[in-house]
Amino acid sequence: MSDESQPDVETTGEEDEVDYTDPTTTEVPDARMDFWIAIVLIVVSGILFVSTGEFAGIRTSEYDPGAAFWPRAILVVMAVAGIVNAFNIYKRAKEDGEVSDLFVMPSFNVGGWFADSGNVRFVLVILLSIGYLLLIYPVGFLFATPPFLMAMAWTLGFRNRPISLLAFGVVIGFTFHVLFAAILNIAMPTGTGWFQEMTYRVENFV
Amino acid sequence: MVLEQLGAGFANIFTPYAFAVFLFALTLGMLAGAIPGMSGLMTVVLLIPVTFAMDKPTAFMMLSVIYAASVYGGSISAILFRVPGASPAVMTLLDGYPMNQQGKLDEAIGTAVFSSAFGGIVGAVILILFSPLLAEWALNLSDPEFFAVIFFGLALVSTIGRGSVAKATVAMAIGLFLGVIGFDPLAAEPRLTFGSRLLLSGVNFIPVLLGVFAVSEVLKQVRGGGEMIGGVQSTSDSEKSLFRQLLPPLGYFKRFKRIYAVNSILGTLIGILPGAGATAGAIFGYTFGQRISPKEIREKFGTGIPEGVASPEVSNNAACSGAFIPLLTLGIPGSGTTAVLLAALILHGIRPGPAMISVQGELVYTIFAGLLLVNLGVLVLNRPIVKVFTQVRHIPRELLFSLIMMFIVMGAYAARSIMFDLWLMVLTGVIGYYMLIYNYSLAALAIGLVLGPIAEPQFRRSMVKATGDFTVFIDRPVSAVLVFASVAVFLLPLLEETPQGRKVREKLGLISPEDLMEDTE
Repeated sequence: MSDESQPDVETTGEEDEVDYTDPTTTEVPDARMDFWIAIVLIVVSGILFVSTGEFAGIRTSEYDPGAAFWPRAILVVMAVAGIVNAFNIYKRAKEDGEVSDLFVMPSFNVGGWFADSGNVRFVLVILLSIGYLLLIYPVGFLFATPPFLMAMAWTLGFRNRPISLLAFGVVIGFTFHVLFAAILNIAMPTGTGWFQEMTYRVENFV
Repeated sequence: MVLEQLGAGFANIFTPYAFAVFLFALTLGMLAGAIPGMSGLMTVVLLIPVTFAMDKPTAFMMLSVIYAASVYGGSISAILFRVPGASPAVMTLLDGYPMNQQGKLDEAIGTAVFSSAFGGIVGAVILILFSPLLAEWALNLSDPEFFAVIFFGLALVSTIGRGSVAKATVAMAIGLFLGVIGFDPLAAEPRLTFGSRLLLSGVNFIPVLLGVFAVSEVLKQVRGGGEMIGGVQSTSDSEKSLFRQLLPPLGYFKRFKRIYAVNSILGTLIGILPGAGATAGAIFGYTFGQRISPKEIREKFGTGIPEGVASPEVSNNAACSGAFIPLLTLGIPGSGTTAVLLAALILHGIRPGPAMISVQGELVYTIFAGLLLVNLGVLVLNRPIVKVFTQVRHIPRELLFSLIMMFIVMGAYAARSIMFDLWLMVLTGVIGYYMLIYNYSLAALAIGLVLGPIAEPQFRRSMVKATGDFTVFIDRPVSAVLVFASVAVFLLPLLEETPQGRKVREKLGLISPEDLMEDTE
């Protein structure tokens, strides 16, 4: 938890000693964020519970609990578990003497967060994936994949061998499109217009 | 009868095509388990689209073999590089890597592979012998009992919610809720589609599972940064030592007979528990192996002793086979990966359950035969795989992750050929990453996602047949026992953490007095 004299940060960009993704650890990066995630989930449960009213009257017979029963039961379980979770986090914070920090909404220090190259890579990979998906429909898998592979590898640090990078993108993209679409008959996006025409020509050629 | 069908299963595998697929799956599974960033679960999910081009027995034999081989494969990188290639190997590195550092690499690898094979074979034998009996009993189950079984499966997610039952329950509830989206199973009216026609057919398993397991893993590796492989590299001297012999002499393994006897059964039983799986098997196996070892050995666990490698490796592979018992006989996944296998079966129009062994006997016994063979296969292929692995790990990490992301996209699109699934995959991937670091169990989410759509129709049909009387779930003895057991099992981890609960555990020898005192201070 942050010291009062320090600006509120989610992370400082420093590498923690704890591996939070280790299945044997129970620690979390930020107890305050953990608490607010729990609160958000409780609120979302409530909102969704209200929205189940739209189909609450749907039932197949007099004795059918109805279409809303099961989702409502799930949301009640989620809310109760969420409350217990929030309480557990509160209890731990109380033991650590950091209860007052919990109720302050987490703020996000953009500069501090992006000072960590790992976080930068994290965001770039997500943006690249979104870009890939935006491209894949109009351009098709065959033409979208090589630039994606190259951009992704470059982003992650493979920068010293541009020719290898180019070969990697083109060969892998072509090979797997052919393998899936032409050999295994599993549909891949073919793109539109000229790109679609070229994709079909490649598949037919193979 | 069992032997005849098992023979038929073996005959299915020993055809040129099926055997080639078996070898491919064995190799791929071991590599996937060994390469950090990949896993058996991810590989199984990625290959589900490929199964549509195969006959069902071969397809599911392939997926099962990948799973079983990957459980062993994780120990390779755990021992060589102190990085568990798959989560079931997380305990193996505690002693395996120190053994490597002490120059006992061949002993560590040999112990791991033989222990894995032993545990896997015992688990597979129990699976083969008891599945038909369990299936026959399960044929007498009615809707309320079936629902009670699934309810029991859901309750057991509390055992996989390490450190937080509440978070595991939230994760399971999220999975259950995702399964609600789409058409109501009885009335066929849209629910929670928010006017979107894309959501009318519901949320498909594949993109969600790819997102929460595969994309989140890639994001975790990418954000973690640094070198994928740390610590001592494999030197040419170590490699020569490793390949001097396939296995240590068989007499060497006599020292593990108690561990093998206990942990192979224990691991299988843990694997049978829905929600537990190979990782839980490994954790229980390590701690039990420590407990049943002589005092002078028990004290050395964690310093680099072969018992520390044998204990988790026997259990995790036994648990892997055990996880198939509830999957095939009751349609309840025993682990995250078997939850994915359940999804794959459903996608192929197969509903696992009591009738599966009689209706899909060829498929089931081909899987059984595959699970037996894979444990022999790891013994044979271990040395070349380790050799290949030391070369494959030289593939730059950047290229490897790019490839994995491409495979994930291909796998997600192949499910329904719609872009919506790709967006769902990315979204659930980011959510899955944060669930991972904030200790929300992804396996619990998967179990909820897969079991929820099965549970709801059973529940509602039960209520309709019982004219709205909720006591239908406790009228019949089987469902009553299961319902009460579900409540007890769910509450047990919570009660264990109370002061009284910890005292009981101390009396049973499950917790040391020092740990008890630390907690009460």
